[in-house]
Amino acid sequence: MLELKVWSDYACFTRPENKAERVSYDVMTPSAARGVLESIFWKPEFQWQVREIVVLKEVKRYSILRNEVNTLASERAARGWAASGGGFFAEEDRAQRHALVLKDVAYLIRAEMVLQPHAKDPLQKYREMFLRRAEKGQAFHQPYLGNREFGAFFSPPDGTEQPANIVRQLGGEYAERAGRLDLGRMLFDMEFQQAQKGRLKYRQHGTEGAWWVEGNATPRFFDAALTDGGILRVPVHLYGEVKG
Amino acid sequence: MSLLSQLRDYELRMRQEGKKPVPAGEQAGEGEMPFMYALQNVRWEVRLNADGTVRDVQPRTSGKTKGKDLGKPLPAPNLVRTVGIKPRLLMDNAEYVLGFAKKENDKNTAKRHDAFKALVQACAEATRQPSVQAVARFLGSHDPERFQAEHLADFPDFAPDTNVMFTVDGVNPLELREVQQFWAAQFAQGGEDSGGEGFRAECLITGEVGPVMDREPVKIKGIQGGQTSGMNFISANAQAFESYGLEASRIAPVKFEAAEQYANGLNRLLADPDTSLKIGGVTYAFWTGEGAVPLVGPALKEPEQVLKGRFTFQVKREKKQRPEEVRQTLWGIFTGQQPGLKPGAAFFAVGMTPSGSRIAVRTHLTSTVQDAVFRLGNYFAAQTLVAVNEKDEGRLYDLRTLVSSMYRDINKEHTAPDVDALVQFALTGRPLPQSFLVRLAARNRADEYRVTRPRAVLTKMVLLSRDWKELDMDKDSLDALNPNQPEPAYHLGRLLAVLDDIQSSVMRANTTLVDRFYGSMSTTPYAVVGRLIQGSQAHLQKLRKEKPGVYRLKQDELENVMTRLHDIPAKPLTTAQQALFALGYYHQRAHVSEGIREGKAAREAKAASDQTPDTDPSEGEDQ
Repeated sequence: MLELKVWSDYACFTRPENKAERVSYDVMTPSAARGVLESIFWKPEFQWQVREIVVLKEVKRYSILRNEVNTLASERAARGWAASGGGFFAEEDRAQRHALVLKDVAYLIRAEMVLQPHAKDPLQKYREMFLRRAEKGQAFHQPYLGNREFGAFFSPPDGTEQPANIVRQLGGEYAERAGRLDLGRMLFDMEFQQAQKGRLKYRQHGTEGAWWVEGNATPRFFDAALTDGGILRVPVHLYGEVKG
Repeated sequence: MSLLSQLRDYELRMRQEGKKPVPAGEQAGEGEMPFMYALQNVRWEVRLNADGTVRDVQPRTSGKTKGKDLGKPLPAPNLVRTVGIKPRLLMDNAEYVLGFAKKENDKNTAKRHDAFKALVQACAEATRQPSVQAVARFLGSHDPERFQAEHLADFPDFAPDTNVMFTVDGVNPLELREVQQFWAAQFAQGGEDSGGEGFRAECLITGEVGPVMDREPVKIKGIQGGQTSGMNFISANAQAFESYGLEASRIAPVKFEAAEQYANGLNRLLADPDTSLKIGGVTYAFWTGEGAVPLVGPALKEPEQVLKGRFTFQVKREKKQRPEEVRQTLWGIFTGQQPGLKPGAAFFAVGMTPSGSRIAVRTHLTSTVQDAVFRLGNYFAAQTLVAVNEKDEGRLYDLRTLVSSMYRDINKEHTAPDVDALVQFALTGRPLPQSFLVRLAARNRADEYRVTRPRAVLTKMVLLSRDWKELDMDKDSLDALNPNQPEPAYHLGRLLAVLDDIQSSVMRANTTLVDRFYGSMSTTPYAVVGRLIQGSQAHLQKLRKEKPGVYRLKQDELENVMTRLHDIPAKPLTTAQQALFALGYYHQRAHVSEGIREGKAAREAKAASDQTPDTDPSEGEDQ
């Protein structure tokens, strides 16, 4: 099991049902944790599978207003700007939106690397590479917690990390006695399926390298629960169902 | 748990308990409302014979004499309609039902009427109900102009935007189970049997895989400051909201039925003043997992009325109420009013603000009923404070009064964050923001009434809610004057009140000492204390010569304060110290006015006993 500690001043793991006016999940989602790991180290030869997310600090919610833009920057629009010499002016295309985010967060991510069928090298190689990179603070891009503006810091854990008692904080005495707090259904990850006429294009990796395919992505959810004070355990079987 | 599933659970529980839904704030009929039905006002009833010929038209009046008569409410098919042409089944406005144009030469009138006709035809074929077939037959041979001439001559007030329904030989087809099932089936989108190109996904509320909604079927009504036609929870109308090519409400896949349930659950809560609170731009809903909902909203909005004086009476009698007792009293009051309260049941609260046509969730709290009520008890206990005027003794303040004490004109301010902070403090004990103190201090300096009671109460609440490591303060006794308070800022506040009292007992100044020096004294006392004390010597001298009794009293009071002030802080006071300064000033003023009241009472008692009035030593001005 590989471990990584991440922390940040703010985080927003947006719930899909409150996406326009954002509301964060109380705990980091498995897909957000995967994103953090992939920003530090990823190769097509392996897949990250998040096993546990340990919440190290109490949940503090914080309400902010931010300016966000309404349109997506498309490739076609960018070509237009390149030709005309213009550009995108966020000032003319923004909306003020509310977000209920988390403040002062820290997590310990426990995850496994799982080799893809087309991998030729042993897993040990990739594990060592990840550990060296994490130790040195190297990342392909700075990891972030949910939203790009909430950049995160990371380091290998020093062994003193203890889960904060979130079960009690959020669930009160009753949840503490039961030793378990149900968080309801939480986004697990997106499931990609190749299709003739898909809604999006994505990269597929295999023995012949990488290629673009058309397909659909549908969100998958799971029943999230906190146990042992503040540990979110991700059922392994979910990764069998979702091929990322 | 997610907010939407909590709301859905509540709605399902209410339906199970046989509680009537309350769409549009009207009283519902008996029993459960069929799927996608809502109470709607229907003005006209077209009575048909079994062969589809018209017997007559009957008006259905709401009994209202003022304004436009929209008709009597009736459970009828409902849907959200914006610009597109979407007919309701067997009941709609006269434009859809009878083809009467709302606007002259509107090309779409015919299209709307045709859509209505087609839906009824489809329903007649699917259900094979004689009554529906009769309506279909009527529509087949319907001519708007002839119909108007033959049947509407007696009704000059017939308007195309009022709703029309049908009965066939006394049968209302909307009550037929088959018709209701047909209507419900219209919304089962994307199922294989309907052949639609629907989107199938895993519902984020129920976890079932199946067709999910495109648009929310029911809008949320009753959000303060929001659109009156209703608001959405889940929607994506701009590219930036969409992800992975998923549009509209598919960004968060939810089964159609589940969406109808959570929306109706929230509408039910918002329509009832006992389970909602609309204040300062924020709309709250409160509900429980089990049993009755404690009257949290009304208590925060109108504490004096809801708590019916019982609570205030106790506070007044004991002057200083222990929080524990206040909590128990409040719990007793709540259980007395609502015997169905379950202490261990889950308690939920959500605070929402409008943002365009969408709802923004500001707060989402989960605790237990007992915990929430006990926290509310702490909130009211934190409000206990001595009063300058006798009538304010033991008074509790509503949210709006507390928030408005921080502003010159509350109507010009964006108060949602303040209201929210207070509600969160009241229900969970989350500390109040330090920015409250900054605003209060600014108001205290600028406002001619200085530290009013609501300001003092709010100051006290903020001081109690947090840990002030830099402030040497005895938290247990902020209710009334406490000469043993260690922090010098507190006694500086007292000093200002005492000096002002001395001045006012000698002369009636147009601009009093407080008017001139409150600002500088509360921020940089070092700069002014010397001058103020020196200035008061002349007043004391005059008092000593003219009213020796009063002089002794005032001199004692001044000495009392001065002995507590070993040294004057050389630095400007911090925000927290300024708050304590304000409280010290307020406490001392309350103490002075209480002395005056006691003196007056003693004088009157004396006058009554020996009938020989004489000059009283404790004469002074009430400020």
